Amino acid sequence: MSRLGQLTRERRAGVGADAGAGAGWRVPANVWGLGVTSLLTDISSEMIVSVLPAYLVLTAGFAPLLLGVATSLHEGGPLLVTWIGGWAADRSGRRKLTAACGYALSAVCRLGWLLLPARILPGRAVSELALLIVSDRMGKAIRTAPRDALISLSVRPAQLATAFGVHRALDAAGAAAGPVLAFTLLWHFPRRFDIVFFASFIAALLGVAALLLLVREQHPVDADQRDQSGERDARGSSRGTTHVWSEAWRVFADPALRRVIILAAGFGLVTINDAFVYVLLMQRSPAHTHWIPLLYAGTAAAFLLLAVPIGALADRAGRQRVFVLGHVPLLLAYAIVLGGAPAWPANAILCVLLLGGYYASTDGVLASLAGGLLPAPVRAMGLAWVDTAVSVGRLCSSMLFGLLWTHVSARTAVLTFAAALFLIMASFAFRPEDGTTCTTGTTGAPA
Amino acid sequence: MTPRRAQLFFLAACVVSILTIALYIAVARPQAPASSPSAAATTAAASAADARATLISAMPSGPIILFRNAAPGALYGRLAIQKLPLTPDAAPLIAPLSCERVYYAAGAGICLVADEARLPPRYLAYVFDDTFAQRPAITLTGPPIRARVSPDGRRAAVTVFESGHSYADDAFSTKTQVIETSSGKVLGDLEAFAVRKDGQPFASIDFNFWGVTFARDGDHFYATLKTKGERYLVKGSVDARVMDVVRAGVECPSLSPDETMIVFKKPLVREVGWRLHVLVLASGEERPLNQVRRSIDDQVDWFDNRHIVYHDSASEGTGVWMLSVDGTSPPRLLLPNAYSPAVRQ
Repeated sequence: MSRLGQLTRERRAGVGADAGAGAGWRVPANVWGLGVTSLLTDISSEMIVSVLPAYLVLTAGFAPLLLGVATSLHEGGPLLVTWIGGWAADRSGRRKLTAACGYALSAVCRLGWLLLPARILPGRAVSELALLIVSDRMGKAIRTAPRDALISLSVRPAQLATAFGVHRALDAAGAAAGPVLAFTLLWHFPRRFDIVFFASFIAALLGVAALLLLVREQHPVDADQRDQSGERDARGSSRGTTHVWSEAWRVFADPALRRVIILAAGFGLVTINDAFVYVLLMQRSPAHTHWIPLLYAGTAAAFLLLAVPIGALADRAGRQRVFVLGHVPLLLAYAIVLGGAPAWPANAILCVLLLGGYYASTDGVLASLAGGLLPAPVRAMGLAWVDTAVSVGRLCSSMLFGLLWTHVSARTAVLTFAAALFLIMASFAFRPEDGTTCTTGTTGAPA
Repeated sequence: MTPRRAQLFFLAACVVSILTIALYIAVARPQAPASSPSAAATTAAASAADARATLISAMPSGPIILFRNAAPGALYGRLAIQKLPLTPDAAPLIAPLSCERVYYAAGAGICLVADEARLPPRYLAYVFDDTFAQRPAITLTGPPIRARVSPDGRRAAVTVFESGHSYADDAFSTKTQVIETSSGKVLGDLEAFAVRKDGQPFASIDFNFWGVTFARDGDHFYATLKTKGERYLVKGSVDARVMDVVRAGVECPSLSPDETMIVFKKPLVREVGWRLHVLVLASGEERPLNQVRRSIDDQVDWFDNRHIVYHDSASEGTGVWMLSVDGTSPPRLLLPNAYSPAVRQ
């Protein structure tokens, strides 16, 4: 596709004039706008998440067991709301508005944290905290699929993974900056959690402003003409008459997407949660658990640095290939956890780099892989499916890993997951790429 | 709106946001407890409770129950005392100390402090006397969880989490130290004591100890030992620096004042949580207490030879609950908004 052609399309889609001016890494302004939105929103949410344990135990007088409940509420989240977000975005064709509702809901929750301390009554506050946490997560669930659909509709198909790389890099920058900002504030103003909550609320509002001001709605008709076959257009245009579940089912019926869903769920199932990796790493080292937040920040930093180059690589070398081989660093991280590597702190630094590399080559790449396969009118719903598949896979993986750890041993658990990961990688590594590049826009046949 | 104009608007929004945060920091009054007297005004109830509280500078005489004040307001986290027997609506006496976990017996107290608002967080322990004068602080290596002083006031024991933040987390490890109260110095770490099981030396690198309870002589004690997934009750001597495994399935023991019974928390089989049980030492008989349906995670203290007190967060109220060990009556809320109870009869 010529640069001129790209430029014309960007103009027609109403995105920034700077798009297409540079080489392969340049992405349209819309992607930057969505990236800035995510950056601010992640700063906002990570500020809260990183101080929550200290806040609940110190100020709200929470028992540690309740803290566990609050944390799992945060992790679990309402999965099916993702579908509703995807469905609403597709059906109305207003992805930006749907995403904005999700961002706004989370922003309102940040305000809730600020108002809550004044009326905390131990024992009663638990349900209010749960409501806040669940609503916050609902906001995230609503916005994810419309936002990713908007990213994928804003760029040429050949640039999908690069665009997601840019977005995920900004997202990771927010995740790394949030805790640093929160702790800096608490350092200067000890125990002033209200300042952290207020700053978090303002950052969330600014995130909504970034979405409304810097991002333009993309029209599927324009975008769809770019890469989709007539068959898909016909199928896509029959939208608008179904409700959320039948729409979800219809999208699932597409064999190409179903393969991506199975890929996502399968790999999610054999992925050990970061938290387990860090705790296991700490157990083998003389270091303190205080380092764990730093490991999260380090992983986010590595993710941030690698996301764009690996995204660009995926656009050239094939997204599915990069996604599957992107689990090699994860496998190496498991090996380090099992003790097959240098001593502290070299093992932690290596682990952080490997996990960052794993995220960079899987997270945005998977979204671009699915985005490239989906007809524009049902893209948000399809992305919601992939998102749900990853979440369900990881949720099951955490439970399985916890069970194995409790009833057998941590070593056996890691070995089991490593073996399963290796098998699933081997089984996907030799499959042909299905419609993951712009030149093969047809529906992939099941391999 | 043109993209260029929208970008300018966004830049303006960024500047306004930063100014708003700066303005908030400049004008907002602290809501955090214990920061300034005005913080008490955050809730009417809290300020009313605070207003009724009496500040004290020495331990009152007679029977008392000590606890960490968990009522919201400016006095949150302070060491509080109620005289016994409790009278309804009696205002608490507030000591000039703030403790995360606290215990007191025979003129010596131990106060554990956590400052987690800083990075890295700081954890300290210090011994105090009847006038709340503090001995030099001991630096702790993790969040404090258990504190006990021997009935004769000679020794204190402190447990902290080294990794993991809850007993429910299977990967936790703990560190337990015994402190001499007269000097405020550490006498030793339980992991450095010898352990015997069935008379034979018993050792493993995964040993974790917690929940010390002292006998009246200030030397003998019971504690929990966890190794390879099993939790044992151990009985030891601080002077001899040795412990013997007594039985399995016992966590956070608490020895009755007459030294005939131990109340402990027993891990549930299929879920995460604990039920309080009583062990009669002479017969080895063990039975559950009717603490109703909830899980209790606390090292209990004895109110007298027939009743125990412990912390629980329940829908009926969060605070210190009381329960008889004969299993006849249900638990009742003794002190709302209280934590870490210690009784001196």
